[in-house]
Amino acid sequence: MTDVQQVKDDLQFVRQAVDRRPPVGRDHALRYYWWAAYVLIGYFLLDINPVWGSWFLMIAGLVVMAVIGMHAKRRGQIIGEIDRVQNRRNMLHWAGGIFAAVFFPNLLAGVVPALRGPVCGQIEVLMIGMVYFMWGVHVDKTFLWLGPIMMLGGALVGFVPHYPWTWLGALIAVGLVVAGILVQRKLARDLAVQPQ
Amino acid sequence: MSRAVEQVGAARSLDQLDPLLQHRTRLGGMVLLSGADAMTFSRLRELLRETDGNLGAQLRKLEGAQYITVRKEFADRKPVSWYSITPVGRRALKAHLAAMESLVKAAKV
Repeated sequence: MTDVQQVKDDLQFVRQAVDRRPPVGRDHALRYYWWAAYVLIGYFLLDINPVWGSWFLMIAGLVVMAVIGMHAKRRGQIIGEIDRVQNRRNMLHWAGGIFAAVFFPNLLAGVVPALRGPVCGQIEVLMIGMVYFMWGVHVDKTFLWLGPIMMLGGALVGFVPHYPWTWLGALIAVGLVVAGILVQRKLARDLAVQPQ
Repeated sequence: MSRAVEQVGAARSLDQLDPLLQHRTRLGGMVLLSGADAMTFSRLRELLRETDGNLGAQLRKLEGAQYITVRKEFADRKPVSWYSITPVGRRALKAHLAAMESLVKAAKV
């Protein structure tokens, strides 16, 4: 049936065009490097001075988010594609997830004294690890292992005698850099084998 | 299912295909635009691997049917055309893809 064959050929053509378009959220690695630097500095500050560290993580988090947002917008202009729905979805995942991860443990700590201090920070890290893991489920598979590593690190941070947060920050930063490198390699590979 | 029923099903699906979307470039452009808020002419050309002339002609047909809209702006003094799918276009694409699916299913039975 030639009509059916024509339909199949057309669908194949459309599929190839769609395959040339990398999924939004996995289209550049720069954001991972920004977050790696943020975690490395912020967690180091938590060991030096927990108050400074907390302020840094809060303010710099907003700044990095704004920088990444501007970069994504600029990148959209350069490649010629705007996807506000997906960008909003990504922002809600990270901003909503991290807000919940910080807000609820602190809320609970207000009621349960045992959750105050470093324990509260550990719960926050556990929950942020879950946010990472969910990013792995929906967008970037690298985070499927980075999320659990972060959760494990959050659980074990109490057992490290010296600079526990710095170690944890370094571990997460390395994970983010590796994730960024893997994204870059995948993009380069996809570009090399793009269907003609 | 008898052969006659299959043929009736396939014929009905064929009737439901949108003639405007039976061209692969127009169909490809609509599918790509349905997955983003807006895309430039260059981006569509890059993804569809089409020539300027052919892509421009196909996009004008889609624009004429009000399936897509175009917004023109300047970036670094160069004109840039941003294309977006309209609600009419989205509905037409959905109906066309459903008809294509039924056609392929009818042919498989």
